[in-house]
Parts: sequence; structure tokens; C-alpha cells
Amino acid sequence: MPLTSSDADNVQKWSPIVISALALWSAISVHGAEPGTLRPVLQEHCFKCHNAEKQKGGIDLTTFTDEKSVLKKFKVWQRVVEAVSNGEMPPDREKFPAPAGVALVQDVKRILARLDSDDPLVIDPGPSLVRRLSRAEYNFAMRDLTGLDMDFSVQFGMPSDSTGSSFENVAAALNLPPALLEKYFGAADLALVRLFGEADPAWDSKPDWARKPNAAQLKLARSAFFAGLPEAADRAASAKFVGQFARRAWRRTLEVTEVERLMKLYDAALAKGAAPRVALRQTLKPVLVSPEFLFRIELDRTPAKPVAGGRMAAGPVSDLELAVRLSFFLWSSIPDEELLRLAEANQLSQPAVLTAQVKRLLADDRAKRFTSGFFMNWLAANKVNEARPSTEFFPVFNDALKRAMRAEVEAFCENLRTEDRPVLDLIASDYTFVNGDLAKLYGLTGVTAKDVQRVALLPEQHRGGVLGMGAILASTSHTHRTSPTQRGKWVLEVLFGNPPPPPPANAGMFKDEKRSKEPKDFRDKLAQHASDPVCASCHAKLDPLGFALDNYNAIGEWRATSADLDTHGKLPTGEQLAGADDLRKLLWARRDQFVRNVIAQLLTYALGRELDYFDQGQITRIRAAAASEGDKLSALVLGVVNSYPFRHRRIMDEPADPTRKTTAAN
Amino acid sequence: MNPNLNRRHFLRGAGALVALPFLESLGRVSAFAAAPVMRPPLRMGIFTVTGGTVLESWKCALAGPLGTLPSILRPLDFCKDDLLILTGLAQSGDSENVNGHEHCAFTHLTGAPKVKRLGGRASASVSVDQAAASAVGGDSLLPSLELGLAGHENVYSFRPDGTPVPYEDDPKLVFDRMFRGRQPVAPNWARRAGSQMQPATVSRDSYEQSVIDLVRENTTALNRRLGRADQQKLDEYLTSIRSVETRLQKLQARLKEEALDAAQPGPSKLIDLPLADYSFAKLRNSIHRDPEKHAQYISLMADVMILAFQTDSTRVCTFAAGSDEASFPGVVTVGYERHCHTLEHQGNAGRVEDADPISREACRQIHAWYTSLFAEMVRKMKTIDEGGSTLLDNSMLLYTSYMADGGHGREDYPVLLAGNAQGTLKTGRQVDFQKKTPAANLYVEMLDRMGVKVAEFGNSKTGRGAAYNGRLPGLV
Repeated sequence: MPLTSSDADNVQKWSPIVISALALWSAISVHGAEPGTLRPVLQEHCFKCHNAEKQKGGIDLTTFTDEKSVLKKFKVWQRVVEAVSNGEMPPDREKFPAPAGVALVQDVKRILARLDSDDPLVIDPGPSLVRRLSRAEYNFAMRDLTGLDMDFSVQFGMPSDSTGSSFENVAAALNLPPALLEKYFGAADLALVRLFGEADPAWDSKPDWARKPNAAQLKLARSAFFAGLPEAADRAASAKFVGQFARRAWRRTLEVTEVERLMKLYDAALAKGAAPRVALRQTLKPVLVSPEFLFRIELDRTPAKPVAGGRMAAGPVSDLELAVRLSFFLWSSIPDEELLRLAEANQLSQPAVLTAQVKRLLADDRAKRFTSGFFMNWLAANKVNEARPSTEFFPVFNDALKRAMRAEVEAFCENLRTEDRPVLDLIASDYTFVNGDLAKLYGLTGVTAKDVQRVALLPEQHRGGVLGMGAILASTSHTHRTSPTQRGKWVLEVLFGNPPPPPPANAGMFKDEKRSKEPKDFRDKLAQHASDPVCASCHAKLDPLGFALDNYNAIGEWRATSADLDTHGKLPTGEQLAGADDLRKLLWARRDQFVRNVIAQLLTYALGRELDYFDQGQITRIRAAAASEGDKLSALVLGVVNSYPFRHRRIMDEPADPTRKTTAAN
Repeated sequence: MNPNLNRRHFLRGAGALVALPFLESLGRVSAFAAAPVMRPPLRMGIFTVTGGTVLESWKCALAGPLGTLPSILRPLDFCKDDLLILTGLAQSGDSENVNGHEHCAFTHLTGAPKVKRLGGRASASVSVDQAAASAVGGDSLLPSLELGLAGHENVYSFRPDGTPVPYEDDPKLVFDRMFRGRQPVAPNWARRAGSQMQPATVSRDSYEQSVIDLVRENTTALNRRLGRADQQKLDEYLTSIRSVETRLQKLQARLKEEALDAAQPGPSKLIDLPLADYSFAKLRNSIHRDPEKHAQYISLMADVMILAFQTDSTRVCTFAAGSDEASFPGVVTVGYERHCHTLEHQGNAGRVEDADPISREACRQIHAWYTSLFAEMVRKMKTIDEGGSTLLDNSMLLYTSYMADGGHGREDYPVLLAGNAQGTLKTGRQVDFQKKTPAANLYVEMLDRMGVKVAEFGNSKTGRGAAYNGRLPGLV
């Protein structure tokens, strides 16, 4: 994808909403206006509408007190810079002297520039709260611990975690209601009964309720699980076994007294006449329902030094904590023996060791969970299961095709991981993965297999990267037509991390009276709908992106631009798009913002929390380090692992600061 | 004697066919108080559908005795005398950091003055079902049950601490939660009322109890080493452990009563759940696009609610029926759109005249379809004899939606009560309240009938349309 003009040039042309923080910073003028001039300007021209009560456009600028207040709401202030720069705000320009606008923009930019600095104000690892394992993490931890090939979350109907984000592992959202703890008790029972080979009438009497374990797999799991435990284990051998089991489950070595506390159950069972094996099983259960297994807990430590000015004291995480962060990031599960050993020997944090371990974890089969936990959720590719296009209008769009579409995205991302490809492949690639059905839909020849396989692509085949993938195109369509608005939203939200604000509550959808609309009518309808000024500012950004993608029908079949299909559009900043191929070129021109967004998403997933203002500088640092490695996936992952917030944690209680409780950046 | 043997004998006597892994042994016993029974208890059921409704086809033109029912409610014609239609109720709570659906969903059963997402977690004040559960839930096996395809945007139930309650989407797993290791038994209320209830006895030294004691000790020690914010998380764990423990004790106490009821059954005939061949995992995707499978799912969950009430497994149950993301080919016979969410938006506008009439008719068809499934449930409850009164008589069923209309409207919700709540509701009528009366006023009334006396609930006294001193006069 050749592009001659530099990124900086394109920034000026591109829709303001996708201007990332970096673009702003790179253009920052260091000559801010006199300090202290900001407030009077805001007061005179902005506060009338953007105050706590009116909050026009959802924006309250009266929260401005000092520079930190600007940093905390940096996204709002980035919008201020955009809106004032392009003349959108304030609405009555004649009363707004040009120099006031220049001064305001420069002042805010100067403050925002600190996000990228080493200013103590922006060095903070952020909160690292105790968190319950997400549904997926619990499932994988149980599998790794027991060796059983079972889906505990499905078997026990563990609720999917509603986090309001793409990812399931947002720490603050993971609560533990009683019903869930009951399920953990049940799952612990079932796993142990299976491993110990005892009959469980409650389960076995209902063969259709719980999937029967595969006998061969069960045998393997048992032999691995009980390896090292003598057939006629005495109490000492049993205690050792319990200690080892708990060490893996709790990710730390237990004190002798802790093992003995568990062994009380063993003794009690024997005293009641239970067989030693039954006693051992009973001793293991509390390990699986303890908070030390169900939660990720990093124990508090006294601050290393006194803390001034309400700043958070921070310190490096221990090697053991690092091992846990690492394994949950890349495996969605507990560390394996090698990681645990390195951590216990305090070697994991050595740079060479850590790099080698990151690469080992990424290459391991268990990192498939990273593909499903990170990529599939970020790209919203699983949504193809519920895609709206119906077989009534698209007879080929059946379950098998949906599965193939999902498999394409998964195989593509797995390929990024296993081949360590640049993440830019996601927006431009000369290959993809299709099976026979999907190849037919895409107009590719030579593939008939049921499983997806890699195929080389030519530019005239109009595929490559996620934009050409059926899973994305179909899940952003309606029952019988495409949705340019939703596709545009997907591009902004997923690829650039800049979701438009939700439509106003009273936004209607246009009437739908005709079976197949001429594209022109459709356009007119949408244009008419979007002419309402409340709607226009967002639709102007979204719709041209989506119309360019109208070269793909509702289920992703290519159709050429023609008299009946108008795929042209003009972005608010002036760029003309003639269709999907132009949009690809634009994405490539915007690749820097794209990679920054991939890093932001990775960091969110790795830290299990929404990013805050103090994380913005980290993105820049990771970006710089990864660029020298060609933006390969492993370079991005290593950047995240080596980042300040991944390697550090706050080491004191949070001060009583109510503003902390909410997401500072919105 | 081996305690396991004891237990097997005991369970056989109770009519149970399978063992109880959840109760490893019945050891030393201690007293566990159970409330004396005079008559069947009052149950509170909420059957709430997605997508608002089409109000002109939902409520009657005039308040007073019910004549011909509007088309959406017509499937309920057979039990007209058991219905109480309420109009004018609204939500006015504010929201922060949530979309239109979440705003409606989080306020729906809470009447919260403000709802939000905090660090990704849905947050609102306590919901009516959970408020009822925390007051009356102690008398049944489970304080409450939450069923259906809720979650993500559609979070309806919130605990008193403001955290969301997950919903069970798999009917088999709900069955298992209620009856794992036992057979369902319907209480013989007449026998229970006549017999001198012995204080039930529970074991304090069972294996499960030792496990609970051990992890609790472990957690308390851990908690001392954590910061304040982290302690809150583990406190939540301790609360949940306590609830598992309570359930364990109640189950022990219950087995004895169930054995007696099984030996001397009452008139209540257990509803038959066709669960044997049902696989939710296999069907979950097709529910959304195949109305036949969707209807089967709703019926099955409604049956689960009936069975839960009938066996006194719980007295508070909420069922989130339907899905905005579902498609309704066959149910919708007009126009070309079948996708519920799309139809909701097209079929609604600031003024009804501006909405697309075809889409609005489609929404009407979908809601009549929902009502036919609710009506099926009411019909079954009306046939269950609990000894002189029906299960419906001993219930207060709320049929409603989390939005007032498909355009995220929050004024004039569809609200219908079925069952006379043991004579505390005068049914067979429509009662009109003034516009914007907080829906929370209704929740105060419902809680009142469940024996929970609250001065206010949610925004019952502070909502924008606050009226009637936070109550709904004239329901009885």
C-alpha cells in the first residue's frame, strides 16, 4: 500500500475524531499562551453551555481547576482542541476573537503534552485491585490444574461477565454473587469426583445433563494428576501432594501450617472411617473454592517511602506476581511449573529471562486463549453468530457459513501469533483463510475443504485484512441490507478506538417500506435522516466510511460500484472515498493510529482495567519500541509486559478521593 | 455406622433416587428455626419482556372493569378476572456512562434515581425482587431465582449493595440448582399447617460445613493483609460463603419436611418439565432466530418458575423473557424486517404518527406473541390446587417490559398484575394513574404485599412525577 504523503500531512485531512493523541502531541506547539489565561477564556465563551447543569453535548468544562483536571479528562480536552481548531465551537464565532481561540488551543495542547512526558503527575501504575477470575479464566485455570477436558462454565451455566467493555476481564466489574459461588462448589465437586474416579450419582444418573468425559482423556488426566503420589500414600505423602496442588492453584508456596490446616479435613475423614483416597479428595476441595484460587490477589505492602501530595506510592511487582500477570495475560490461566520455578527463584524479572518466557508463552498452544480472549473480543468477531442477515434474503448465510466466517478471523489472528506477523496485517494482507463455502462467497477458486486454509490474495480480489472478512461485514448489517452507519461505527470504534457517542434517545430509524431499495433512495433516506443537526455531526463521520464498504453486500459478497451502487463518500475533512479499496488505502495511511489503538487494547486487556490519562504516555513508549521491531505481535506484547503499569503496582491504600472512583478519562 | 449409609436410607425414605454430593454427611445436629406455616405463602413472579410495547394495543381506552381486551392482551381473555392493568407508570432516573437500553434496563426493577456503569460494572439501587428476597427469601430454599437471557445490557436485578445479580439462562441448570440430588416435592400445605412443626435440625459438623469454616478462616486472615478496596472484594466472598452455608443448612432442615409431604401428598400436582432431551447449549443460537425454539424456551422457563413456586424452592422469581436481538420470521407477517431491535426503532418515534406503521404493527405482533406465552403460564398456575386456593391465587405476577416502548421510552410502561395476591389486589380492572407516576410506587405496593413495609423505594418519592405519596391507591 504505497502512500507518499507523510502521516503528519494526513492528520490534517483526516476526520478529527480519528486524530489520536499522538497526532495531537506531534503537532504540539511549545509556545503556550501565558499561564492562567485559560480560565477567563473558558468562563467567557464555554461555561454558559458546558457547565455541570446543562452539559451540552455531554461536556462539562467547569470541572477545570488546574492542569491535572485537564489531564484527567484528556479525551474531553482533546475534543475541545478539535472543536475550537476546526471552528465548530464556540457557536457564535463573531464574539470569539481569533487570538482567544489560538491561545486556548495552545494552552490545552501544552497541558496535554505532559501526558507523554516523565512528569511525576503522569507516572502511576493505576489501581490493581483484587479481581475474581473471569468466566474464561476460571475455566482454563480448572482445566490446567486438573487436566480435565471439560467446559466447567458451560456445564454449570456460569454467567458471562457483563463488563460494558469488549473484554471479559475488567477487574472492577467482576463480582461474586452467591449463585456463582454455589457453582464453584459444584464444579469443584465434579472435577474431583471425576479425577478420583468415584461414582457421582447426582451427575451420572443424568447422562444427558453433563457431557460424559472421554475415557481416554480422563485416563491421561488422572495419570498426570496423580503422578508422584504413591498408590498407598501415607499421611506425609498425602500432605505433600496437597501442598503441591495448592501451590499451583494458589500460585504460591504454602507454609507448613497452611497445609496442616487443610490436612485437618484429611484426618477428620479418616477418623470417620473414610478410605484414604476419599479423605484426600475431601482435602483438595477447599483449595478450589478458596479466594486464593478464585481471585487474583496481590498482597498489600507498606509503602517504601512516604508519599507527598496525594500521589500514589508504587513499587515493582514481585516475580511471583509478575508470573501470574503474565500467565493470565497470555494463557488466561495459572502459571505452569516453569514460570512458577523461575518466579520462586526470583529470576523471572531478569530481562533476558522475561523475554524468553514471553516468547515461550506466546508460542505455546495455551496462547490460543489469547487469540480468543483478546483478538476475537476486540474485533467483535464472535458477533457473527448473532448476525442479522436472514436466510430469507440470503439463503447461503447458514450456520456453517457463519462458523467459517468466525474461523477465518480466528485462523488469521492465530497466524499473527504463531508466525509473529506485524499487526498491520489486520488492515492490509495478501492472504486470508477460507474454506470451500467462504471461498465461493468471496469468489476465490481452488478451495473446497471444510476447514479454513490459507490462501494468497491478489489486489483485484478485494480481500485481505479484517475489512474484507465476512464475520465483520455480516455482523454490521441488517436483516436484508447493509448498514453503512454500523460499519462506519465499527471502523472508528474497533480499529481506531474512537467510538462515536451513542445516538440520542429519540433517534428514529428511517422507514422501511420497500423490499429492495435503489441505493440512491437509501442514500437519500439516510441523508435526510442525518440532516437533523443532532445526528449530522456523527453521521458525517460514520456514513462515508460505511458507504465505501457497500462494495460488500450484507453478508460480505463483493459487488462492483455501478450505476446502481454508489459507494462514494466524502469525509468531513475533505477526503474522497470511491469504495472499499480506497478505504483500505486510508486505513494504511492511518496505520500509526491503528497500531496505537492495538497497543491501547492490549494494555487494557493485560491490565484488566480501562486505561486512564496516566497510561497514554505508555502507549507512545510501547509504540516507539515496537516500531523498531516492525510492529510484530511479539514486540507489542513485550512492550506491554515491560511497561510501567504491568511491572508496578500501587502499594498503599487509595486516598479518600472521590474523583478516583469514576473513570477519569471520558 | 457409616454416616453415608444413614444418609442413603434417609433419602430413600424421602423419595429421592440419588445421593447428595453437596451434603457429604449428616453428623451432629443443632436447631434450625423454621417459620410456622398457616397457609401457602405468597409468591412474587416477574415476567418481563424486551422491547417495550405498542401501548395503543396494550391498554384499554377506559379505566374500570375489563371489557374486551386490547389485541396484545387478548390471549389473557380467559383469566380476565384475575388481571389488574395499571397505566401511567414511568421511570425518571438519570444515567451516566450507559446507553439507552442499559438506562432503561438498570432502572426497570429498581426505580433508581440514578444508574451507571462504574469501572465497567452495572450499578443501581436494589431491585424490587432482591428487596423482597432479602426479606422473605429466608423461608424458602433459595432467596430468589433469576431466569432468562438477561445480562450484558439487560441487567435488571441488583442486590442491596448495588451489584448486579446474574441470570440463569439454562433451564436444566436451574432445575439442578433447586433439586440437585433430590426429587421435587410439592409441600402439602394443609398437613404442614395442621402439624406441630418441630424445629428442624441441622448438622454443624458435616464435611461441607468444615470446608466452609476452613475457607472462611483463610479469607479472614487474608483480609487483614489487604487494603480497603481489596477488602470489599473479599467481603463479597464472605457474604456469598454465608449464603452457601445457609442454603446447606436449610436443605438439611427441608429434607425432613419433604419426606413427610412425600408420604402424605397434598393436592398440588407437580408440573412436568420436559427437560430430558433439552439441550440449551445446542439451542442457544437458534433461539434468536427461530420463534418456535424461542417459544419453547420461554415456556420451559415459565414452567421452571411454576415448579419453583410450587415446590417452595423460592418465593421470588424474575424471568427476563425475549431478546431485542431476536428475529421473528413467521410471527411478524408484515413488511420485510424481522429483527426485533430494528423494528422497535422503526416502529417508534417522538410522535406515534411519525413512526413507521408497518414496523409498529410488527412490534404489536411480537408482543401479542409474548402475551400468548405468558397466558400459557397463567393458565397452568390457575389449575394448580394448593388446597382450596390455586397457585395463581397465592401469587402476584407482574407482566411488563424493561422499556415503555421500543424507542427507549420510559413513560407509560405496560404494567399488568395477574393473580390477586391472596386477596390483596382487586383484579378484573384497569386503574389509571396520573402521567409520570413513578413505577417505584408499584414496587412499594408489591413489597407491602410480600410483607416488606418500606416508606419509599427507589425514586418513589423523589421521581420527577412523584405522586400519591409514593403509593398506588385503590389497588384493593
